[in-house]
Amino acid sequence: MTFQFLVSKMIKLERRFPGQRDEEATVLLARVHWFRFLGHIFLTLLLAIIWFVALLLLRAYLPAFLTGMWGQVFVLFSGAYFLFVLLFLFIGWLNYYLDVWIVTNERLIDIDQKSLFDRSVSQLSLRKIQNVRAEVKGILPTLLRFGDVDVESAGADVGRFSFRSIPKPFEVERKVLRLAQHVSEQVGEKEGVGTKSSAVRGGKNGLG
Amino acid sequence: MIIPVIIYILFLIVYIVFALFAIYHVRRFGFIGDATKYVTIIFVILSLAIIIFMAFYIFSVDWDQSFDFSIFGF
Repeated sequence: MTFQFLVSKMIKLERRFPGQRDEEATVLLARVHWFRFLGHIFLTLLLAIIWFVALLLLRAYLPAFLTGMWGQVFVLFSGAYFLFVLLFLFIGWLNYYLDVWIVTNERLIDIDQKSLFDRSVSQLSLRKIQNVRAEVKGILPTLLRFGDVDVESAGADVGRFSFRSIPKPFEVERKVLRLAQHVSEQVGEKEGVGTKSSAVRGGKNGLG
Repeated sequence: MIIPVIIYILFLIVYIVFALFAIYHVRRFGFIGDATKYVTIIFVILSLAIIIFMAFYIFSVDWDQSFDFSIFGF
C-alpha cells in the first residue's frame, strides 16, 4: 500500500478535527478500545438498577412511602436521579469519545480528554519520530486485539508519546512507521536537492 | 410544602448548566462527520422528555400536603 493510497483512503473518511491545517490530511484516527468504555456503561446500568431495587424494596416493605406527599417526593427524586444518570452517561461517553489519537501526514496529535474540565493536547512532528513500539499484554487485550503503542521522539520536549488501549496496535505501529519513513525520505530528498543547488550556486559564484 | 419542588428546581439549574457545558464541549471539540451530533441529539431529547414529564407532574399534584411521619413508626 503506497503512501498516497493510504492518505487518499483516509481522506475519504471526511473527518476533520479542530485545528487541522488546510493541507493536512487525517491518515488515522484511533480511540481507546470500546472495552474500556464498558466499565462506565456497567456503572450507569448499576445506578439504574439501584433505583429499581429501591422501588421494589419500598413497595414490599414500606408501601405507604409511595403514596401521599412521600410518593410525590419520590417521583420528584426519581426524575432528578434519572437526569443525573443520563448526564453521567453522556459525560462518560464524551470523555471516551473525545480522547483520540490522530495521525496526519504531518504530525501525531494526542488529545487527552480526562474529564469535562481536564483536557490536554500534545503533538509531535513525524520527522521527529525515532522508534515506534506496539505491545499487547494480557488475555482480554489479545482476544479483543487492543494494546499500547509507544512512539519515541528525538525532541527533548516531548520525549515519548504513549497511546493506551487502542485497537489493532500492530497495524497502527506499521502505519506510523511507514509515514515517518516517508516523511524522513522526503526531508532527505529536499535537503539533498538543497545542498546540490547551493553547491551549484557556489560553483557559479566561484567561477564568476 | 413546596420545599421539595424548590430543591428539584435548584438541581435542574445545576443540571442544565452542566448539560449545556457538555454540549458546548462536544460542539467545540467534536469532529466533523462523527457520532457526536447524533449522541447529542439523543441526549437532548431524553433530557427534555424527562424535564417535560416532571414539569407536567409538578403542576398536576398538590404540594400543599404535609409529610406523614407515622409511616416510619413515629
